Order: sequence, then C-alpha cells, then structure tokens
Amino acid sequence: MRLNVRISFHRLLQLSVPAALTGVFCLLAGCGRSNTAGKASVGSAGKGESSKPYKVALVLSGSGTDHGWNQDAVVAIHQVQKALNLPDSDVSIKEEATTPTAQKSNLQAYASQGYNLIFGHGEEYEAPALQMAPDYPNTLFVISSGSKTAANVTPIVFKLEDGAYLLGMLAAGMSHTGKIGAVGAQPIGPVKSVFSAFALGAKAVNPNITILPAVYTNDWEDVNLAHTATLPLIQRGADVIVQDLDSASQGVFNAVQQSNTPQHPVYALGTNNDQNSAAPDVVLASAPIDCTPVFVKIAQDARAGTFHPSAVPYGLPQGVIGFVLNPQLQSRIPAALLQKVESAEKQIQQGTLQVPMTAP
Amino acid sequence: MHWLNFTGSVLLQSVISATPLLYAAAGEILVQRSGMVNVGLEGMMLGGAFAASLTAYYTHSTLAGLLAALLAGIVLAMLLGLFTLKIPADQIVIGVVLNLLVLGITGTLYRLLFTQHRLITVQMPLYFHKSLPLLTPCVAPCMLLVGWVLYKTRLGLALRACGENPESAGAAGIRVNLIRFCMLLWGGCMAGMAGAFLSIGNGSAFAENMSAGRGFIALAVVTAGRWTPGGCTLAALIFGFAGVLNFEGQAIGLGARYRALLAHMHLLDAAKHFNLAHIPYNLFLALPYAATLFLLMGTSRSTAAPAALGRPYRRN
Repeated sequence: MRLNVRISFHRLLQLSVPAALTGVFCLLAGCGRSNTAGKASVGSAGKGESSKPYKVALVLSGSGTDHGWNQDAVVAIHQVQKALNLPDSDVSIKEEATTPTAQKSNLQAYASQGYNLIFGHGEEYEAPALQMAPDYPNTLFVISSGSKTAANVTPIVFKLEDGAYLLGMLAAGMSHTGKIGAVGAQPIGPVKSVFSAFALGAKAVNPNITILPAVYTNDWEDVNLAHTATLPLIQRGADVIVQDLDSASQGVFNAVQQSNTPQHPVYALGTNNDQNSAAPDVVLASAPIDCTPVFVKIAQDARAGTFHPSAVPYGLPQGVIGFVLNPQLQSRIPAALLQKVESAEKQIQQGTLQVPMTAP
Repeated sequence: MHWLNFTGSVLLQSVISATPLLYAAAGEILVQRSGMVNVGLEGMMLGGAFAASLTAYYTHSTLAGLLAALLAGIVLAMLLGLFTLKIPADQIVIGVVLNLLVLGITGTLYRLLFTQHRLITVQMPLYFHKSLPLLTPCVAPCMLLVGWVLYKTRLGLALRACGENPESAGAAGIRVNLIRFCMLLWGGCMAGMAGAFLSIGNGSAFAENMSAGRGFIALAVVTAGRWTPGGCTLAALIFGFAGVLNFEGQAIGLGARYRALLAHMHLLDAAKHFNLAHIPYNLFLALPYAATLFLLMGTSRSTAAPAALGRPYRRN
C-alpha cells in the first residue's frame, strides 16, 4: 500500500475551507449556548449531597428563543439549576429537534450519558421515552404534555385547556361577526384539546357562535406560513383568532394587525406564554404556561428520591396556567363580558368548573 | 361578488407567498446560467432577513433595513465567490457550509441581543392598502431585468457562454470568473431582498431559521422553470397558489365537507373500512410540493440545464 502524499497546496486549501468554516460555525454556536446557560449560573455547588453529581437535561423540538412554549422551558430549567445548585456543566439543553429521529436520538444521548433527570418538552417525546426507559432505570424522564406513566417516566399534564376556555369566552364575547377561528401547527392531541376547550368556552358565552375549522401549518416556527394560513380565516369572517404555535405565532399577529381596522376590529389571542406585548394593538389576552413551579418541584422531589410518576393535571388552580388580559385593550372589553370571564376564572380556580380535557 | 372577492384574495395571497421565491429565483437564474450553483441561497435569505430586521429595529427605518439586507446578501455572496471561484472548492459543499454558518451566526446574535423581548421592528410594514406588501410588485422589474440581461445584452450572451462552455468562452476573451462573481453578487442581492421580505416586508419580526427552507424551494423553482425568467415565475406562482389553496381548503373545512358528501352517498362506512373517511391535513400540505413536481415532469423535456452547471473554471 502506498499513499499518495503529493497533495498540492491548492487541494489542501480546497479541503481546509469547509473544515474551517464548519469550525467557525461550531465555535459560534457553542458561544451562544454557553452564554445562555451562563445567564443563570450559580457558581459551584456547595451542598453536601453535591459530591455525587446530579445532571439535568432539557430536549426541545423548537427554538429556545420562540417567546412561547420552548423558551418557557428554558427559563424553567435555569430555575431548576438554581434550586438544585447545579454547576453549568451538569445542565444541558438540546434544541431544534424537528424530526422524530432527532428527538429520539437527543433523548437517548442524554440517557446514555447518565443524566439523572431529562425533560422532554412535548408530547412527541413520550413514545421514545417509554420505549427506552427500561434500559435507563436511574434516569427519570419527564414528558411535558404527556399522558402515560411508567416506573421512571412521568408526564406533566399542562391543563392549558383552563386558559383556552377563558380565551374562548372572551373571543365569543368580542366577536362582531359571530365567527372565530384557530391556527395550529399540527393537529396533535394537546393542540386539538386546547382548541376544543376554546370552542367550549366560546359556546358558553354565545351558543350560536361559529367556530371555523382550524387551519394547520405543519410548522411551529415559520412566521410567514402562519401569516398566510391566518388570512383565509379572516377572509371567511373570523374576527378573533386563537393560535397554538411557537415562533410562528408572530405571523398570526401580523395577519390580524394587517386586517384590523377601526370599523372592523380583528383580535388575536396568545397561548403558551404572555404574548400580549408581541402585538399590543390586537392581542386581547394570553393564557401563559409557567413551567417553572412544576419543573422545580419535580426536580427537587426526584433528587430527594421522593418523586412518584403521576398524571395529575397542572392548571389554573395550581398557578401553572394563567390568564392575562392585555392592559392596552382591556377598556374595549364590555364590563358584563369581563365579569363573566372573571367569574369563570374564579370557578375554575375553586374547582367548581371543570374544563374537560379530550383524551389525545 | 363574494366569489370575485374570494378569487381576488386567493390570487393576491398566491403572489404574496410566492414573492420571496421570485426574488431568490431572479438571482439564482443568472447565477446558474453563468455556470454556478448557489446552494447557500437559504443562508443568504436568512442573513438578509436578520440584517433587515436588526437594522430596521435600531434605525427605525425600513429603507435602512432593506439596504442592510442587500449588503448582507452581497457580503455572503463575496464569501461564496471567494471560496468557489478563487480557490475553487466544491460549490455544493461551500453552499451547505454557508447555510450552516448563517444559521449559527444569526441564531447566536439573536440570542445575545434578544432573549427577553422579541425582535419586532415596525408595527406595520410596507403595505399598499394594508393588503399588498410593497416589495411584492417590486419583484416584477427585477424579473424583467433578468430576462432583458439574459437575452438582449452582450453580458447575457457572455454569461450564458460561461454556463455552457466556460473554456470556449474563456478562449474568446470572456473573463469567466469575473462574470460568475458578478452574477453571484446579484444573486446575493436578490436573496437578501427575499429575506427582507420575510422579516420586514410582509411581517414585522425575526425568528430563528425563519427562511424555513424557502431557499431550497427557490432552487427547485429555478430547475422547474427551466432556467428561464418566465418559467421560473410560473413555477413560483404555482407553488404559491398551491400553498394558499391548502389553507383555503382547510379553512372551508374541506375534510368535513368530504365526509358529508360520503355520508350523503351512503359511502361513509365503506370509506371507513378502507381508511378513507377523512382527508389528512398532510395531504393539503403536500399540495405545493406535488404541484411543483408535476410541473417539473411536464417541462423536463423542453430545455436542458446549463452544460457547465457547478463545474469550476480555471484559466490555462
């Protein structure tokens, strides 16, 4: 065997270019990650139990900067880090796993590296987690929006339906045309359930309200696609639009802003996060999810060894789901409607009104 | 009147959703006719989108945002030109690397600057009557310019020669790599405009990876349009139209209507048996891609690709 070592300088340059560029990219991406993690850094661990490292990971299917579903989890994981006093090196986040293959392999990667607690932020992580959980008995898999439990798999059932019900009431009361609509990314269980709670709330205020068929874009992040998807709903008369999207929600807001006139007001509603400031001229209210209390509680119990998997829903009564009116538009809401919504909110909080969750 | 309104809005929306593809294709036609393949189109679009949004955010000027997008496109095109023409490394590989590089840079900067609040630039971007983005009609002169340059000027003749047979063109005294570089810069400008349309032209915010694969669709549009401005315009419009039809179909509840029709024809049980009782929404989503493929099938015999597409040229 003889290797041809006469590689020309030119050829060497050709080869080095992609390598160098890729290196630069990795470096930049690395900078970004460590920087976001550094924001919540708490210094070195000082507790006695920290002699044995406790490693926590979060896997996301979207971008951690989506000002919605994913970003909320990033905030929560930093609070977990603070609460457990973990060093930066023991907390890790993987984002943008858009395919089932990537989602599964990200989950698997953390499990095989011995992470003690892995948050899979989305229903899509449930099936792979249940499948691999028996192989990693020392790892606790926490699946946001999941529904099934196993020995070391627990769902966090976010009852966004509580908030969606109130948004539906507001939508039906504010609609002049008697038509409202919804835009989602994928018709998965949690999204469909949120939309049906929205419809239920709307019907509670106006039994004759027309809820147009929901439009799905198959993309949580494509802003312009969501924009295009919203316009047919408005064209068909919907004047209040709810959405269940990540970054793409801004496209819905833009479409609503574009169609909104003083003669024919059109409104949007926020979900997953307080999105009132994203388009303060059209977003009436938001139903935010606050992952932090649940994430921290689970992490603390899991570390103490007292955690038991369960599918208890976390909703408005637990303070995990909220309902926030946009102060800029609050004056436009009739007092009678506001009173109805507020009394329903109170009833949900006290448990006298149970918003149903349709089984995924 | 309702139908007229409906049709009008569908056509308008088709043109609007085709706009970024049209811009990107207007650039890529000349790039490919001169014998280059710019796979970095996606990255250039994303770079343009970010530069536009960021500049408009800090200067409060949409025009400055547009200029920044053009500049970002040009800078990225120069980078691409440096590596594919000067060195010359593989065009596909460099293009892919450029896409990753821009995704990383924009994502990192976005995270550094905008973790707490969104990057929202203007409340209402450039619109005619709040329904037609100003940048949409502007794409027509760009496309016409491409056609004019390609078929009516000496430059067009020279660049087509570079794409078909760069060695002969070089022998005839044409500076092949200079022409290719200029076309890359034009391609960068147009990709930057396409990006600006996404972030400040039709919306008002930047999101990570907001080009969402449109650069690759634009590459497909150029191939489907057989490297001609007319063909590419048609391909982009069909793609846009199919995309809008998909949402219209969902909004009028085509699925429910289909079920009602089945029930009316007493076929619902039979359809359920064969798992045909409901139209999956994915079928609607596949519409633009299916339409483009269909188009590609219909036109594939008429013209061939530039003979030297993707082949580097080195002077002897």
